[in-house]
Amino acid sequence: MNIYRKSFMDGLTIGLGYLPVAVAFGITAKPLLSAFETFLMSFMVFGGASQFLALQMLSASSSAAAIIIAVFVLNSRHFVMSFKINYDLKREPLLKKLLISSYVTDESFAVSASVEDERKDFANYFIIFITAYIFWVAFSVVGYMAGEIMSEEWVAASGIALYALFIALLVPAIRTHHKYLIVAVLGMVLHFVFTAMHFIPSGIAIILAMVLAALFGLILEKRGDKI
Amino acid sequence: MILLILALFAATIITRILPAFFVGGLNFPHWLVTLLNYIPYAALGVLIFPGLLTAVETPLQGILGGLFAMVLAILRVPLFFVVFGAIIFVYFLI
Repeated sequence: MNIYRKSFMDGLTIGLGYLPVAVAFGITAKPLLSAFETFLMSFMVFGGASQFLALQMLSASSSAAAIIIAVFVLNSRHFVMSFKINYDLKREPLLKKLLISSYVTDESFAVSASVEDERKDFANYFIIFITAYIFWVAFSVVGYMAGEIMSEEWVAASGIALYALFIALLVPAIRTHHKYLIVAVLGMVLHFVFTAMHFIPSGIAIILAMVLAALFGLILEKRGDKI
Repeated sequence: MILLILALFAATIITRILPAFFVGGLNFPHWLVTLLNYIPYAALGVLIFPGLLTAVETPLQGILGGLFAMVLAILRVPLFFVVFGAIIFVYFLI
């Protein structure tokens, strides 16, 4: 029972990180979408960056095809993340893997990748992912209906939430071995460089930086444990 | 609009669920498993930077907030309170 509570707390932590982003999404969506459409987008797309991109393109009156392609490219990084999650859950039946996979986000991936091995199963992943998902959908609607209940300073300060989450996940990994720090810092540098090259779409920049940095980790390991 | 949202659903779910169909049935070579094990740490780096610079109002506030979160994490503060603490820290910083 205790491990499920731990997973619920992890889901809650992601949810806390989502809360301000979801509220901001609801507020931003208000001039462009109906309340139901706002709910539906969070319910079906479940991706902060993708949803904000869609809103931004809608207000710039981009074509539907352009929006769909842009969102597809931005979201395609989840392929790499889902690959790893499915590898960790490879003993689960296909239906359960499909269910978990459809809730993959940057945050749920990062949290689930760092849970102990005993929690790497369907039930625990489901609790983590669904708790975070409920926060996302519910607070998108709250933001739409009552965005003004959150002060501007509070929304601005909450922008740090997801980054604090990522940093807090990285620190324990670095404690176990400094090779993870090397890979993470390389990921940062590569992402920064690729972002500066404006001809690379941001979705591709993320994937390239992520895979190249992980490849470097593989090379480090292949060269022996001398590092 | 509803049709566009459904299309976006399709566009985002495809890449998420695709690995479920072929991961598991296959036996991966050792190097691929090692590569996969590095993906989370590479991803964390990529997700933290340069996004942290635009997380709050100014890049400096973002970096200070990030450093504060790092100190809390080094002190082994539980995940939930790192996130909560960082928000409160940045709130007072602004």
